[in-house]
Amino acid sequence: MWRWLVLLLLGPIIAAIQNSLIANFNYPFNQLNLTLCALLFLLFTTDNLAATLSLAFCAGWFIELSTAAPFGFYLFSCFLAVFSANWMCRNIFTNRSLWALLALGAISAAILRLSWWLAIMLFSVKFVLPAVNPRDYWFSLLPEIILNNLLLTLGLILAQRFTKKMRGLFLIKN
Amino acid sequence: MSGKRLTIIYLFLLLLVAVGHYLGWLAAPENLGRFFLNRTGQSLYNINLSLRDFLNRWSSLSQLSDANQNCISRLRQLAYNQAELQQSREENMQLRQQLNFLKNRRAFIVAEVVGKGSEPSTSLLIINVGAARGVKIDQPVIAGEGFLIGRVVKTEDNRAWVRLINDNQSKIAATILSSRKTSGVMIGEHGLSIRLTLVPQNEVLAAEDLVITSGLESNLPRGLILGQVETVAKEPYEPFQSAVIKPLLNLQQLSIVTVLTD
Repeated sequence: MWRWLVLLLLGPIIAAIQNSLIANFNYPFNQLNLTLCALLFLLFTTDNLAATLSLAFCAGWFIELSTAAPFGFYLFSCFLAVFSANWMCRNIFTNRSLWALLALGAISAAILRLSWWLAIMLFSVKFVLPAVNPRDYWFSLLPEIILNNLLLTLGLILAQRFTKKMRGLFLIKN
Repeated sequence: MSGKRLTIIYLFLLLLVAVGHYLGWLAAPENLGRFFLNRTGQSLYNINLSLRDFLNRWSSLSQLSDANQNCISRLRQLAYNQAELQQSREENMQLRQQLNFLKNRRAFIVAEVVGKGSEPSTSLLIINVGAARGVKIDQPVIAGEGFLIGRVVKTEDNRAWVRLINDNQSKIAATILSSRKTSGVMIGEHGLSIRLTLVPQNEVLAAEDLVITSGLESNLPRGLILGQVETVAKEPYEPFQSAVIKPLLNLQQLSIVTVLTD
């Protein structure tokens, strides 16, 4: 029970840090997506989709309260990113190594952006579209992936230091 | 719980929240959420500003060095300007003093001192006006409020040489301001001092008497100040008495002078 309580408290804290602290940094440092990092790290380390989706819902709802895009877009994008990450964790990046986490971070960031972009385009949100330059939007994906992966790497290194369960599993050829 | 079931629950919740949002059912929790975000946001924003300041301070170290260099060069420039200003102020003061004296004069030429004569054991000034402007030999040159500093001894078209009153070849007919009858000759002593000589023994000389030109020489009007009596040398066996005269101007620090041409 306390785990769910922690998740419920963690959601608004992550959202507040994302919106008020990181978003105010200069480019490219404002491209760090703390919410996605937290979701991926939780999913990668605990393999608990229910907890990850709960955190996504909680943090996403708070982020929705302070975005200009129509309500629901970010929650939907979060869901797609987490769901696809979960699928990749189970079927592609199964060894829980650092490389798997980095690849997962890069692809999930791209999926999150793509889904948000598609939602904007599908619903033709006119007050958001002029502000979003496609070239800049996709170009800024690169610093986002780099920053997200740096944070994920740091998190994984720290987690591996404190627990042995985080070690990656590799097939060794005899 | 299976992924399929979780997905359905999530999408259902998403739909519920979205509908609740657009219909206004969730206004209360949303306001509560916004209140939380605003309160924490403010603190986090302040942290962000502090962090930015910290980072900017480090990232602008090279700019700081450049700015420091600029400040140093600007300080030097300001010091130079201040020196120029001080010099201008002194020149202005000198010109005002001379103007007060020259109000009743008919003709004069203001000149700048551009150098000193290089001849050994002489006290000569070089000024930047010459014969082209009407400067002639033996014309008096003054500074301040009517202080005679010397006479023109040589002219070129645009330059003239002034023999200072402390030059050992300088001889000027002088008198004491307090008495019209006391007269003598003021001579320079190798650029070091000035002495009033040939003053009859029966005349009264006292310290701090003001010595002026007597007006007995051509081109040298009466009343130009020469200096002040410092010490009197009076010997009973000498036919004349003498006095050491202290110039009231520093003859080594002249920058603007006036040539009296009438």
